[in-house]
Amino acid sequence: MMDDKMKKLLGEDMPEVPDSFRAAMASAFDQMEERSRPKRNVPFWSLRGMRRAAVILAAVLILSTVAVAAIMAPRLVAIFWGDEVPTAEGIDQYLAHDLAQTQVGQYRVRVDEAIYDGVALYVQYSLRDMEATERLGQYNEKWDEWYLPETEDGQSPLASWPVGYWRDGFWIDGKDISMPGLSSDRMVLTETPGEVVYYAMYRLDQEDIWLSGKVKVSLPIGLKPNWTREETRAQYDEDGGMRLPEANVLTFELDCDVPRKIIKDGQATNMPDGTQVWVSSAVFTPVKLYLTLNYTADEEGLARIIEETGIPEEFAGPYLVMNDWAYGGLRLTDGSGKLVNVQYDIYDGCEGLGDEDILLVMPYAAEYPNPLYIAPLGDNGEPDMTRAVLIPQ
Amino acid sequence: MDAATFQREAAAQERLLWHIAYAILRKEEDCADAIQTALLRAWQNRGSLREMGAFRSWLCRILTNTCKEMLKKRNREFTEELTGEIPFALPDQVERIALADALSRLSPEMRLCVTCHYLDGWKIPEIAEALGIPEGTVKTRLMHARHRLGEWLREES
Repeated sequence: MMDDKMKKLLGEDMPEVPDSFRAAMASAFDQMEERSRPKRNVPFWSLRGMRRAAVILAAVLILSTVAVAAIMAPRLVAIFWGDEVPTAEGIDQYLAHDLAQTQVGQYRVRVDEAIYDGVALYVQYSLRDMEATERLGQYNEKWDEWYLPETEDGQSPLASWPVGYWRDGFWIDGKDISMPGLSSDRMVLTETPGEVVYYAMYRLDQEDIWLSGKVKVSLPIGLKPNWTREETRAQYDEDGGMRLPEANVLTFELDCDVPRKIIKDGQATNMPDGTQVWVSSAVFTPVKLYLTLNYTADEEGLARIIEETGIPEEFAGPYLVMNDWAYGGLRLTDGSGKLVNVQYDIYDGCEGLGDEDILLVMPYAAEYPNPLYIAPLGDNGEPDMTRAVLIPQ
Repeated sequence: MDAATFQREAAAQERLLWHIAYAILRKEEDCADAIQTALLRAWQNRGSLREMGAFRSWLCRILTNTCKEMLKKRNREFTEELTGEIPFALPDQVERIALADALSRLSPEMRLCVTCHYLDGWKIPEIAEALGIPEGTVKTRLMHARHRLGEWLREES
């Protein structure tokens, strides 16, 4: 089926947002405000309340400790992992500045900063209309933020600019790299007239690319090409990769010799349900600990889950046996279950759960205990060491 | 994050949230329950969101998990028969009904990927990030979904 047809039919199958859905959202909003108000006549020191208070107190203590110990991460890294992300001391020395620049008519395109953490490549670049006299976007007083409203035809105002990031990929040392999975970016409208800044994180490990030494990075930012069909075809090589164009890109050199330790194939753990799990790759970087776990599902355990959930067998997969583990509030611990460093749920934890492997990102620590484990939180809020997996170091 | 910011950000995603809930649950009343639960959960756990740029993915993931939990509770077959006779249908209506039937026969995970990709225009890495699954899994689900939908629609015609 053609994509356009699929889209059309799906649009017709999908009902418009019903009033009941809107009412449910409104009801939730009302309840939020209700819950935000201080309550009276509610016994705070109930057993459950005490447990919760203890957990909060512990979290505050851990956070305070880390806040003192943490090194302020560069903005380019913090924008993806939070302002308080702990990073290695001296990480700034790997951050390169003012890397490349071009001007197309009134538009300036610049690669402002870049850093490679041993796994991911982070780049900050900016576009600026040099003739603009005011900052981009509109200010919303209620929200206290600047945003870029869409044009009447639903486009970004930047779509009409002749410059921009014009394809879903980039080049390293001239080799075409498709946009790796788990990559992400952020856009910020600055106070500078006509300027928009982009922060991008490319997960090169997802394409099995591991950089070292000095490399040349070419980004498809600059004048958006207006190639004919023949010119476009000629731009691709026999393997389907796009050749690095002579124009329309910005290239810069980056020193990628950051301290990185890659350890393969840790000891396997047998979970209580019979699933066997092991760390197949642990990459210790100055920013994060990136883990890949592999597992072998126990067939009986999987069959039990399929029966309990009612998922048709043809659609079920081994991933079901690790779902609760992967999203169970994972923590780094030492051998006794004592937490290592702080972890923010939104930034760290499971980034991908497949039928054979699990991709995790965990916090950096200047020194990890030995042995080091990763464990989900149990019902009591403590790491469940019966389901802990040893991380090789 | 204050309540007004949360509500504004969530309300801005209303259509997408509806698509996700409907893609998984296919029942209007269940979708309403799911979004209410998910929003309250998200609000209670807003402290875990340190970067507003991740709000959409974060909320979508909470809603997805809530919908899946509801499915577990429902514990019933996903395949639903169209009930009632269709007295007369124009050719494009037939195709639409056939698609609705075929979509109901997909797994919720496949429906979600198909909806996000084709209807909401999400790129594969975005879906993978929001759903917490590898990009390869998204691709596989899309591929199987297209294949199955194509097969079923051919059978219908």
